[in-house]
Amino acid sequence: MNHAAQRRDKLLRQTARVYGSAGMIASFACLSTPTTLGTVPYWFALPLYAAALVLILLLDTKHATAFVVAVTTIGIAIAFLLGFSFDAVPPSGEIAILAITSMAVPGTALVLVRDTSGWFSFLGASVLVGTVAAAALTRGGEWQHIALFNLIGMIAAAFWGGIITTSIGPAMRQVAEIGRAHRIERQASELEAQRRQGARLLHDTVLATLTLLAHSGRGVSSEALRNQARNDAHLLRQLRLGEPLLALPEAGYRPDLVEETLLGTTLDSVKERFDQLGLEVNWHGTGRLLLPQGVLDGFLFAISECLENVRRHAGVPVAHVTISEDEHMVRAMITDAGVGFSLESVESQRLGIKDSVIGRMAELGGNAKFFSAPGAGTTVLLEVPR
Amino acid sequence: MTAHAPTRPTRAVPAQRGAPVRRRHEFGRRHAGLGMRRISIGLILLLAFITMTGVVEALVQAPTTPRPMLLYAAWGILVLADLAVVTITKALGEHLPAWAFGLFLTALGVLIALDFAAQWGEAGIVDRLSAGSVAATSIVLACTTRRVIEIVLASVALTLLVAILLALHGDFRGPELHDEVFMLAQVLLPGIVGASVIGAFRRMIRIELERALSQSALAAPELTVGSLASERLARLDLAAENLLADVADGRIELPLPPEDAARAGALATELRFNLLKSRNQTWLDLALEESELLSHAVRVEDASRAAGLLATRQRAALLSAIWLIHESIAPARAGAIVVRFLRTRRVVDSTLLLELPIRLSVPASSRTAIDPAVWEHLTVVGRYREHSESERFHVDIRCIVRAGRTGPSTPDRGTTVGGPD
Repeated sequence: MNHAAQRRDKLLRQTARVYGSAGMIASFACLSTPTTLGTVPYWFALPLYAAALVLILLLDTKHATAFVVAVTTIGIAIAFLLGFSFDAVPPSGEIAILAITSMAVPGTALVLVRDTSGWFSFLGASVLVGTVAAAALTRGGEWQHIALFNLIGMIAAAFWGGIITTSIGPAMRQVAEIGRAHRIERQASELEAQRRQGARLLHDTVLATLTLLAHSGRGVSSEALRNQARNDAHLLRQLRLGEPLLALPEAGYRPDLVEETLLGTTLDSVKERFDQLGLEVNWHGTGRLLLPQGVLDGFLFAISECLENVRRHAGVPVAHVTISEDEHMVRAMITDAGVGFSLESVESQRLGIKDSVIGRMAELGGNAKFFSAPGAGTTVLLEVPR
Repeated sequence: MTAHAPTRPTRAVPAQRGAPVRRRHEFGRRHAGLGMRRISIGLILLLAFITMTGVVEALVQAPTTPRPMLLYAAWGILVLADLAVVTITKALGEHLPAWAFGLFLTALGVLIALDFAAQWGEAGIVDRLSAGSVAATSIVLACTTRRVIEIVLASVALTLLVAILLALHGDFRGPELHDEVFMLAQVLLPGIVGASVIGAFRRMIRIELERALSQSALAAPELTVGSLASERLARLDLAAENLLADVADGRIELPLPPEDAARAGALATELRFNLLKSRNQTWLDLALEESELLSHAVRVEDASRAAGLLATRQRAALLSAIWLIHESIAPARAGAIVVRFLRTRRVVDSTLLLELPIRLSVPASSRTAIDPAVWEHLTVVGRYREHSESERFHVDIRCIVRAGRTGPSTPDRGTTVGGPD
């Protein structure tokens, strides 16, 4: 059975419970008025009402027919009981029976209206209980008034069944439609997020520039800083407008689409940038290095972050970067002969070099180690697997 | 946009806390009326039918009514009030403002009083009321647009009004009491039945909607940023772009004024934080984020982000099972349903597969409290065992998943995954 049908059945069940029990309670309330309250048939009717109410509240879809048959039978039993226990049916008994036949039984039978045969069963139960009640109440007398009353009750109940069964399908389809639209939207935003997240090199240079600006741009030539800001703003704009990040003004910022790239030119651009900022960077070791693009980006970012740290805090104008590799690992060692720092104090620093470098290296499956002491310079060892 | 705006220096971009909640609420409001258009048409037809029977009754009563003008006035008000409510509701797109609802109720009260006044003094006045009993049914017109509690209270108020008028007329004694009781039931019940049926319908639509939305997360990669994190990154990028452009074009002096420097610092920190932290949500986090009901009731314990390892089929089944459990026990307490992902283990003889144990913990004493369909879904997730322990019921599922975080295991884009039929 499909999902919409399950939902419809559940809703019909809930409606039948409310509608049927409301009818039974109304009927019992009418019966509990002076003309019948406390009479012998009243006491006999009491357990029948209780049973009917319990059955209605326990309604389940699987045994719906059995439940409706049972409630209808009890309704007929109450009609007979009240109809034939008195010489003339007291008006309170009459109205109690009418509440059952026009409301409680058709209401309960709503649980059946899942399909055409269910509608026929609904009709059958309502007409049967209505006819029996009319017969019991009038004993062949004026039955038209009662039949009309029952007919109106049945039609009102049928309206509710019709409303539920015809509304659920379109509503479920609409929900599915919204879900589909939402899924497409989510996939688009996921792709967009991946694109933004993927532009790591760009973000790395933006971060470096912002960090310079955070220090009011002191110690850097205004012209160099303005140029750098212009480049970064331009790249961010391209990212925002969804343009491919290919034709970039500076080679060093280009997220190369080639799987592997030549390290030399990229290292040069890093050196150039720090030269502009007043830090001389000396490269040692291998000049060519083949790494997957993503790994290379991250590796260079980590190196740049370390160099930026030297520039800002070490108090010396020179830093050395030694790159070495073996068959498993690529290593970079960034050293300076500056003021150094206590490793304990850096532990408590806010999200800064340590987090960004270590975090970025961890993302690449590598690690970063810091060696430093006050007055003894700093060495950072970066390692990534090949 | 100028960068010199005196923004608070420590905040890089406007705060977006509570954004998911607001987004969900907006979404809920936008779709609250889903399916109500058809229902309201059905209710209008139902009311038309009931009104017709009432009019016939009134025509039968009219010749013997002491003050027929009042009866006609009552009917006139009833028809006008109903038409007005239908017109307003349709004109505003299935919406009925509070003032209109209040006016409607007042009109119903007035016309019930007029109906009484028309027949005042007659014996068996209950049997003679026509507009009054139809008036109570008119409440169903507001069922699709007003809250359940409002409809119930309105029905109770009208019932009280009728009861008071009957008492004033001196009818609450003697052998005819059953007629009064039946009359009161007729006034009270249409609103109660209508409100509860429509309330159930609304609840169902809401669950279905949240379910459909949460299912959109099934196709997410193993780890994802989530749409909110992505929005945040986009906003940060824009703020950075503006700041950098202002520096480049000389709109900001160099060296930077302190507040701009502080802004750049805050931006850098947030940007760094976002880049480091953002890709750590799994599809399950997203699915919960989409649903107010689930995010309230379900707590996920997944330190190693293992949920992302599940294949799409397993994800869909697990989410369906969680929804069904949620529906069958309707937990009131926050975080009552716990989904705990334990450490993965190597599967013997395989380098490709891992075993991922999941423990579902449900506040139910036995399996009978849970919808049987849950087990069918859990079979898809993995082999499971159940056991209960003091008021809680546990299901231990052993899922077999593919090993390794070798890139996002993005399922085919564009395939529909387990949407409602």
